[in-house]
Amino acid sequence: MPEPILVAERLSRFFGGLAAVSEVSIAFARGEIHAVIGPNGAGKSTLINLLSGHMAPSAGRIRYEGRDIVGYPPDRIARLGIARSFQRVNVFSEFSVFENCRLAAQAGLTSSMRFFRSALSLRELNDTAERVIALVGLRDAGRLAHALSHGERRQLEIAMTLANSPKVLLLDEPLAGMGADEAVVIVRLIEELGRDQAILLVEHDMDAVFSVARRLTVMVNGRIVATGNPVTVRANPEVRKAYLGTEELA
Amino acid sequence: MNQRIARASFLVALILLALIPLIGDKYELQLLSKIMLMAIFAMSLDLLVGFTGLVSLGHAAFFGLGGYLLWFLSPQYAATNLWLSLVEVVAIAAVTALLIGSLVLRSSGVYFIMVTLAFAQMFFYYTTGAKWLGGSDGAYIYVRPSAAIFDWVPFNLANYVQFYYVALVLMIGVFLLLRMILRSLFGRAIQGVKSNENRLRSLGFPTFRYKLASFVIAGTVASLAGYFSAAQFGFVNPELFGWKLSGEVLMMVILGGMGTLYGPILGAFVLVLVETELAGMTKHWLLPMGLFVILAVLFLPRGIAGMRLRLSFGRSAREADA
Repeated sequence: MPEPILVAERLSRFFGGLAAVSEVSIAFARGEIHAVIGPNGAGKSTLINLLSGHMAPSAGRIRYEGRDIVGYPPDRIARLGIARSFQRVNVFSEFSVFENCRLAAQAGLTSSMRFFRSALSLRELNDTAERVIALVGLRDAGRLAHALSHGERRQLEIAMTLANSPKVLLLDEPLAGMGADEAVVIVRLIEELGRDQAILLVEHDMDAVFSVARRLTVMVNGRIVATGNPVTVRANPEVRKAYLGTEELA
Repeated sequence: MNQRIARASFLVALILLALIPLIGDKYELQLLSKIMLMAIFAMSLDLLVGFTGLVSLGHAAFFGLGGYLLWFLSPQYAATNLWLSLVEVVAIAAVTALLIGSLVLRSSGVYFIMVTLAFAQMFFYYTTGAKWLGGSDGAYIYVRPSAAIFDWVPFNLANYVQFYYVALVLMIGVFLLLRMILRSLFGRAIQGVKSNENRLRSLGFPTFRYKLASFVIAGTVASLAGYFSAAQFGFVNPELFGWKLSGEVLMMVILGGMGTLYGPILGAFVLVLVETELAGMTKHWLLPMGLFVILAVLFLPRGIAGMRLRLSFGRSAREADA
């Protein structure tokens, strides 16, 4: 395995008496797509929330490029190069597709405390916005986000996470609700990005998961039950019993 | 297209406003000057409410502060210098807004409304009780600030026609300033706060400081309106901090159309003119006034400016800026 860039050590998060994430140790390396699967309520989204700083862990450590980032606010973690998408569409609905992505690119500037020049005069940001819109295969960047179809909003969501060329991408069910055609574009894109970025992919579409993931971790009830390369994990009897057993795995 | 019509009608309105002193009497010009200062106040609040998504019910704190600071800086029987005192007022208001903002912005939503209200009420009760500030009776500014730059006096605030033009220029200036700010990187960031603060943070924006900067700008501009308002009437009293004024200016923003810059201007004109008309007709003018506001909100949910003339990222963002 290549040198990991993001490492969680015995990460736990309790909600009252419930352990949503329990003693999870997991690592992500550049150039590797690491899929985390598991039934609903397994703690996958909570894991992403912990890694992105949206939730504080109850216990455990998160090391990113060698430093402990537990307690960092989400904006700081994002600026360090860990970008995330959301399971439920989370965009600026009153803004155009273009403005959503331009704003995402703007987040990469050292500061936005600049009051005089028009934001649109910054060529680089405009170019970045156009580039990521093209990457996810969206058309008609002038449309307002709330006027998009559900699948298109998902594409926009992903485009926004790419605007600052993050080193780590946390993708929370990026394909959910997407049409088959768009899903193909996104799966290909994830594969492409996975060449030099570290990607955590939470996804229910098993075909997509097995086609792109180099590493697979199965979570059940907040715990990791298996981890390894997809072929071994698929053969793991415990995994079959806990999760995959109900599905036909060809 | 709509944008063009809006722009054209706005220009016509400005020309009319510039010509009114040729026909208006003293009372009318003073009323219009007052309205234009209220429009400045309302635009500053709209920066918070309509663009940053922060509903403040205590914005009068800064309006009153501007007025009281002018009184404080004015010698009893001599004029203070307009430019110097203006710089001092703006600086003090900015620092005050920074302090208050860094506290109140820790809350949000309905709590933010309550906490901003509480701060303004603190000013209100302090001035009401403070003898050295004139207490509940208020205090007079006997001599208007002088605009003299060395020996040259560009205008005289005691002259109501000249005051009218100062208010007009100020209103246009604030409009242009805020428009520039809203189009800047900062402006885009605060509008992102309004749209979806959580997402903006996830993208990497430390949203607190942008909200704080917006609060400081809004408070400073409001103090400017309060300063000139006190200069117009030569009088300050605790009502300048009152929740009634905060509510009234919020009403102007909502009635005119929040999230647009000309909305608050329209709101200020409509609200004050209707109010003045009704007050002239009946002693019980508050009742029809209330009905008017209810009807306006019912039938114009986006305010007067929202009658299809929204300045936003509506179409292509680039086109809108062209």
